[in-house]
Amino acid sequence: MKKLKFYIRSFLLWELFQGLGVTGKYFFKRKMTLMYPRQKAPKSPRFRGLHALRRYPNGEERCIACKLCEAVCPALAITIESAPRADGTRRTTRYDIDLFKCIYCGFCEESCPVDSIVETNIAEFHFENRGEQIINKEKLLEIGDKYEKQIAKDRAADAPYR
Amino acid sequence: MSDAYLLSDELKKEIDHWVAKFPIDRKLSAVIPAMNMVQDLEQHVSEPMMDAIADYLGVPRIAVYEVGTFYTMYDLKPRGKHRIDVCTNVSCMLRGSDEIMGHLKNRLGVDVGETSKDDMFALRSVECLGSCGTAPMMQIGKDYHENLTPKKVDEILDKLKGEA
Amino acid sequence: MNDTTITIDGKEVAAEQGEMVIEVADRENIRIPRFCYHKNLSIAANCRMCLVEVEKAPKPLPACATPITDGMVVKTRSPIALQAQKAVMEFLLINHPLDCPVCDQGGECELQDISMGYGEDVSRYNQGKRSVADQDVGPLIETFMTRCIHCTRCVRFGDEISGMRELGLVNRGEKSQITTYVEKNIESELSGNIIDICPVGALTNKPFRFKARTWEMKQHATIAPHDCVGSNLMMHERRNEVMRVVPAENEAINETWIADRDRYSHFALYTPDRVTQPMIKVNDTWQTVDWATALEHTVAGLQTVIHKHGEKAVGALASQSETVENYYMFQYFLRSLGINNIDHRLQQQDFSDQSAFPAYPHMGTTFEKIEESDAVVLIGSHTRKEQPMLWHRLHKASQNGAKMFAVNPVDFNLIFAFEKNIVPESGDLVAGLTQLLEHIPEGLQSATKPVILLGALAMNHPQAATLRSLAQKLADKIGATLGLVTSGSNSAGAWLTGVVPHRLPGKQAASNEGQDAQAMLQDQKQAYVLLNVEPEFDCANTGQALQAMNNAEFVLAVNTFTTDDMLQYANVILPAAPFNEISGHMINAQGDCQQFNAAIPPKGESRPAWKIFRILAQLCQIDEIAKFMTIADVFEAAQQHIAEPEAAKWTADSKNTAPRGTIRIAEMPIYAIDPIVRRAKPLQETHDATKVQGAHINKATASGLQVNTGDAVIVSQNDNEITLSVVINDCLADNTVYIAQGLAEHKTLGAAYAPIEIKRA
Repeated sequence: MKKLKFYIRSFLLWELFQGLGVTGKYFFKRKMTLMYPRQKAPKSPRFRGLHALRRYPNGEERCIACKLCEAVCPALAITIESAPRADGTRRTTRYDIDLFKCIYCGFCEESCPVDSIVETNIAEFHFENRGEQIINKEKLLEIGDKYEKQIAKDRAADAPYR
Repeated sequence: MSDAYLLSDELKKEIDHWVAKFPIDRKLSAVIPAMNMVQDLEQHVSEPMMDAIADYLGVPRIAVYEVGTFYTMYDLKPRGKHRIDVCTNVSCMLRGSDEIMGHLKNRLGVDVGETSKDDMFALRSVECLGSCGTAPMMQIGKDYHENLTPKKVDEILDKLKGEA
Repeated sequence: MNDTTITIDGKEVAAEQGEMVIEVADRENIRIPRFCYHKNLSIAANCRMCLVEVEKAPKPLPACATPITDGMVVKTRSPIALQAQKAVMEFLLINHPLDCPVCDQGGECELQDISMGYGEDVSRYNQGKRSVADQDVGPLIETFMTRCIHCTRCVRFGDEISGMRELGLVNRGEKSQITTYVEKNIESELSGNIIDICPVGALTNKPFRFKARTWEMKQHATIAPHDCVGSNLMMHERRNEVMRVVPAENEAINETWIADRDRYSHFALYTPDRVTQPMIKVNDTWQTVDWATALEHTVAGLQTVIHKHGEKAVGALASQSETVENYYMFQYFLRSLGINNIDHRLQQQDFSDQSAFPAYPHMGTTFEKIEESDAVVLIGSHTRKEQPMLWHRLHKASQNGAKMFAVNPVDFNLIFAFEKNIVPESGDLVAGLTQLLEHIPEGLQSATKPVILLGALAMNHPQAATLRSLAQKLADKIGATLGLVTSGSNSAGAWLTGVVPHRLPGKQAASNEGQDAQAMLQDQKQAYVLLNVEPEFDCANTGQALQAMNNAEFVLAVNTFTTDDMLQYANVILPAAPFNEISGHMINAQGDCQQFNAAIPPKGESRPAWKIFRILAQLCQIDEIAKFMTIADVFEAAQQHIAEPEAAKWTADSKNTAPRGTIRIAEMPIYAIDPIVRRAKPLQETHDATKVQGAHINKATASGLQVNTGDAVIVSQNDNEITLSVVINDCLADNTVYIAQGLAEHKTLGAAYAPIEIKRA
């Protein structure tokens, strides 16, 4: 009996129609595909992408070279050297992040006492030459300056939950 | 370099008298009497004088600075001829030291911690001087003036001005 | 002893009457939080952090100031104790700034640690915090006084350890602050220790400021290479660079302190004149070459001289601060070539009793025993600047009531009061000591545990042998222990391994006695081998040494650093790794043979000196060298010669005559003592480094010359004239001019205790 049922089903291509049914169902359903890069998915304000160093509104860099991010970094991607600046304040003389080592965990941002190092929502970046993946202080500050509006907006959006 | 030469021979003798009262390795004990004498003599204890006392006694200079800055009875800078110290602690405050202080400020035209323009009066608020039974009170130089009223304050000030 | 029993946290422990609760708890590893208590300082009990509950006491008591009683029951973690400790913590944090991220103490801060355990999350105090102005207290210490919690450890340190009370607690109540009150530098040579004892970040290391965090650095134990105490150090290194030095605790040697010289000397290691590549001079130009070429060049140069002029035409000088291994291979290599002119006693001028020396010169007692002595005689010793940690022991002895006596060429400020301080005219220490010997003061006569110490100024005196025999007579008369305080960190090792011309390793008399350091420079040699020596700074007669170097055919320098003159006279410079980059042993003045390991690998192409001499020996076809493959092999060979200190008997008198006329008094100043220290920038900025410049004369001499402070005078020695500015210093005796050694400006002058001409410019 069972054998006979199987025989008839396979003769009538039942499973084929079953499969085509699923195809047909999704044919008329709303499309999920994003036409990246023309279309982009919305990002959470907590998105952790490329790093940036922020400044205070008066233009003074926030980073005070406390080296907590360097200490907390699980991938040892951050290298900092510090020295007193001419005005006697504690500043970094070197702030390097190796983006190949980085695992984008966001611990550096969590540990920062002055909200200086942040992970922006930029996920699209590439390198053309070996060595470019190590971004230095100037680049980080540049990124910070360029995207400050977005960074500030994201922090503000997340602030009530912190 | 010793600055002990700044002390007069008389003063040195007085200091020796006090040093003799304490054990030989407790020269620091003579700092307070020595500073008292200098304060009486010059109306203030300047830094060179503190150095002189330290050098004469053979104690570290900083030890004398510590004493000098700790006690309010030493003026480290010239402050004026009559130094008025008004007690503003609880007993005096309850008995109206605020009014006395306000009156003094008005009368002398100075704020707390300042000296009048003619260098006659210097006003200061101090903690309890131990005369609570006769509050409110103030100390001018070494004299206590007790049970004060604004009227009484005026009389005292007039008298002091008259003397000058 | 241990006659009392007390209970701490339910644990019954034995204790001694008179001990404080905190001492017993520390011994039992029961940690009571504290800020003002420090085991090597007096008890102040003003931070109140160590409050503990004691049964039958109405309120919590400070553990640091509560003596134990029999049957006492102490609870350090009971609710009452914890409540008290938390309350104190809250008070301390009222005014303490929350700037841990920028504070150099962050990560090693006692306040930070303890606030993790006892602090509350949120302060109940919302008024403004107090702020205190910072002070500039010199090139070594940075202040941030707002962070101060008034534990007064630094004040007590100045009072009790450094002997100079420079900091104090002025004003009162909320206005109290730790300050020098007047604008002044902290000048003590032990001042760096207040950085370590400060429980917060109020006093921090200035040259190290903001450079590194504690958690980034690796810690390596090592030994200080600047004095005969051999202080134990912890060297902190990050990415193969020495960042800072802190003391390692060793109660028998340096307790918990070190001198500033040991703390800040590492800044010299990265100066531009450090050699990191072998260098040879070809046709008067320097070339950086690989090791093979340099070594070939060296061997060829040495062999040419030996071939032409014989082995006697080679002189070899080693510094006084090398490791046992370096010394051993140095003399092994030279003696294998038949060179016997080997010496390390660069500063000495009298060698007449050298064969009477014991296996090595030592202190005759231990640092701990010095504290217990009841009378100390210092002969020619500026102990405070020569050996700061030894001075600390003497200071402790004097605080314990020991009577102090001195015979010194200058009335040095050694802080403790001298019962008798003889400062003879013309630097004639023999006359001074004879005077003391003829009229032995009562205090010395009646002493039961007297100690006599001969310092560098006596050892380097032209009549050193007479001084030693006179000191011996004095010691015999009063039953004192007699000791020598040697310069350098390992002169003991040099003697034991035969880096002296008259002895082979282990006190065997050399069959072919060579010339001593002085003779070697007096008789012009054709070749010199230098091991970390800069003859124009380090030798007794610097002018003569410089001339000898310049006239030599071949000079090999196995050095860590070069000097301008060295680039003129040397033919080969091989880079020797400094003390922090090598392993080895050093023997201090009380006879401890201390081993230490390299903190970081040698910089560039530099190598440990013992390896350099080993390979040189190999290239000279010395067969036996094959047995020295590792440092352990070298030490094994040297170790059999390392003996216990043995008593000396000095009877010989010097052949030299007493100095007469106007005499130059010279010492190696504290911050010019060796090539490393001379290059340490933070130390060179201190008052101790600058105040030794110029020609120091007393008032009488000055009025004789009609000069005043700041005037220029021309001094001449060795037929060389230099112009110096006058410093009037009444610590000097008549007919003496103090001109320090080891300074670049003074290098053309001659020896100490030698006649000097001084006239108005």
